[in-house]
Amino acid sequence: MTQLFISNLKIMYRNRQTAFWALFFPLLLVTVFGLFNMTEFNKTKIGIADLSETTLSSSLIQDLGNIQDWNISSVDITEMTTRLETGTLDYGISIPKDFEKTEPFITVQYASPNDTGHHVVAAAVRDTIQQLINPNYSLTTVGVSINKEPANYFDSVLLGIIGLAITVNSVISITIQLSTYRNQNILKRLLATPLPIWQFFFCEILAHLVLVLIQTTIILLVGSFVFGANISGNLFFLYIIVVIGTIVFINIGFILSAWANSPAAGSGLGNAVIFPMIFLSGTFFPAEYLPWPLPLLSAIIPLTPMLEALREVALNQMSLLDAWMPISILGAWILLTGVIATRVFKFN
Amino acid sequence: MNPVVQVSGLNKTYGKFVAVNDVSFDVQEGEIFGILGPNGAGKTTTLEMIEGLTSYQSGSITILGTDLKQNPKSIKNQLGIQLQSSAYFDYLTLQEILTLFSSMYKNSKDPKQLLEQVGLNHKSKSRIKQLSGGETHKFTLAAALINDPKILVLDEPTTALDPKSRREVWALIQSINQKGTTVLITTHYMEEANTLCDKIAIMNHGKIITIDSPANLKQSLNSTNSMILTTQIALEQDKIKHLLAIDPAYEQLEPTVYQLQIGTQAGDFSKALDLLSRHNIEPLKLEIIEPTLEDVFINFTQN
Repeated sequence: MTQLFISNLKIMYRNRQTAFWALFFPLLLVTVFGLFNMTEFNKTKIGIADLSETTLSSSLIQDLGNIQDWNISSVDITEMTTRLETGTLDYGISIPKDFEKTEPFITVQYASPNDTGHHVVAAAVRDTIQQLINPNYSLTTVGVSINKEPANYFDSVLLGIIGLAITVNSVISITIQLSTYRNQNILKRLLATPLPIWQFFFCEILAHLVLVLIQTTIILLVGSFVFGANISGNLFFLYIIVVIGTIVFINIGFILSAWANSPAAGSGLGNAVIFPMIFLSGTFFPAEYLPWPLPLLSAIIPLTPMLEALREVALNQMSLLDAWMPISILGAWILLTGVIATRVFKFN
Repeated sequence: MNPVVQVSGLNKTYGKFVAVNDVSFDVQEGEIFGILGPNGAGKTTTLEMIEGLTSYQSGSITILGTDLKQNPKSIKNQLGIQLQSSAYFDYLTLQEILTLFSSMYKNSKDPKQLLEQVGLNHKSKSRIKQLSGGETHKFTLAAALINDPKILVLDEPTTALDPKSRREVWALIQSINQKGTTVLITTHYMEEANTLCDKIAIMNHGKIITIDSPANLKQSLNSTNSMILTTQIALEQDKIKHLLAIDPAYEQLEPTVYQLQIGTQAGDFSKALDLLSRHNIEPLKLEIIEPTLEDVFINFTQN
């Protein structure tokens, strides 16, 4: 077993293609996303909770929507804090009941206590209301910080890249490797030895897990120390999710290898499965922005719960228990893909 | 004699196709036993059943006194296996591959010694891709010997090799056999079967047609030897008629070349020579041709 495990590690280390897909490619993406300051390109995301729900408040929202570089969306007051924390909102404006009758307090919520932009937002809101009602209309705007550093887009993408690296490495390299072994009769040669074949697969999976852990560590180190990502959650939890997710994708590799008659077919099949998955699961941008019915598809593919669990744990400092939902979905995926893999896998 | 492999009434079908049909044979300890047959005869399927790689519907396989179905693991520990076309891990060196395979068996030989035995000690740090065809075949032999097997099972071990490499592999197989390893081999090369095998089973359409030693098989054909007589000039009519005394149905292949049957009995050849000298027929060249294994093979597989 030890010999088999060591041999598997050597095979992966010496295969330049594995090294490229496992390390160079994800690091290239980290560099691309790290060098571009994505937030500069974005419009200011403003969520409005309309508690008044009058024609006047609707007109106000419409007028605010006309402000250049503002991206207005309607949000529920209860989810405003969470959305500020996760960075899907920059500012949250609450329009109180009867705001046109009394002298209202308009609150502008923002995440970081160091934010200075809320003054501008508050002034713009005040100005728009006065234009709408009358120029001397008296109102107070209050800026309230929720005292949290909001998740940075790059932090979120960095975890997406970890997910991408794991998927590419596990699905493609397992599919290619196993179809090569089958094609060249290596699996058959192993079956002719007294070695219980499960030991071979176990060592293959173990070696891949080691590679994935190294890969994750390098991506985290480069992302954090070179490009300033802020991964504040528990790293041990993060690695546990990485291991669970990797097992799902290794199983998928085993399943695909059953249909791949050659290494080239394996590569094509692997790419055909993982690339749509990478774009649908919110690796680089939230899946909720996808047109219908793609968000539904996003919800049922395994990379989505893995990225969700990774982000909950690494960015929102959740524990494994808090993130039980995506982790349970991953567990179900392990069972499902495991059963299918053992049914469809072929030695010859 | 002590049979180390006993195959009895073996059957294997794929749907309606009968790949192996009631095959039985015994391989004695220390011999080189060959299964000779055209492509698709069922040689590889038979071998893979013995190796425990393919299941069989009926019949039995007993190896070293153990039934294969009863204890496949113990049998795999004692068989040295070379598959028809099997590659090894691309990214490991020859020595690393052998070390890896040695870890899979109960008993194992030293990888370095094995590489030396097959003449590849200078290539121990090379990878499979860097080997020539002949070297690759030698390496797969080394890999088959890693567990110091009592029986070596080789499936077409010299296919696609040049004549020189083929002879080197034959010499290697013979030297392994001389050290006491029983060899079971499949081939479709007559020369290979003739050179290597103590006993040959001719197989066609999933059946074994006959089993015997190469010499007995050739003798069983009951055909006479041929003599090719080449003279300096074409024989005149009166001299030609003397040839009728040797073979009434002789054939003139070329103006100066004649083919005659001379029987298989001792003395037939000197009688023919005597007749030629009495009638002043001077041979420029005389060639005696025995029936070949190929004749035997064609005779058996065509009937």
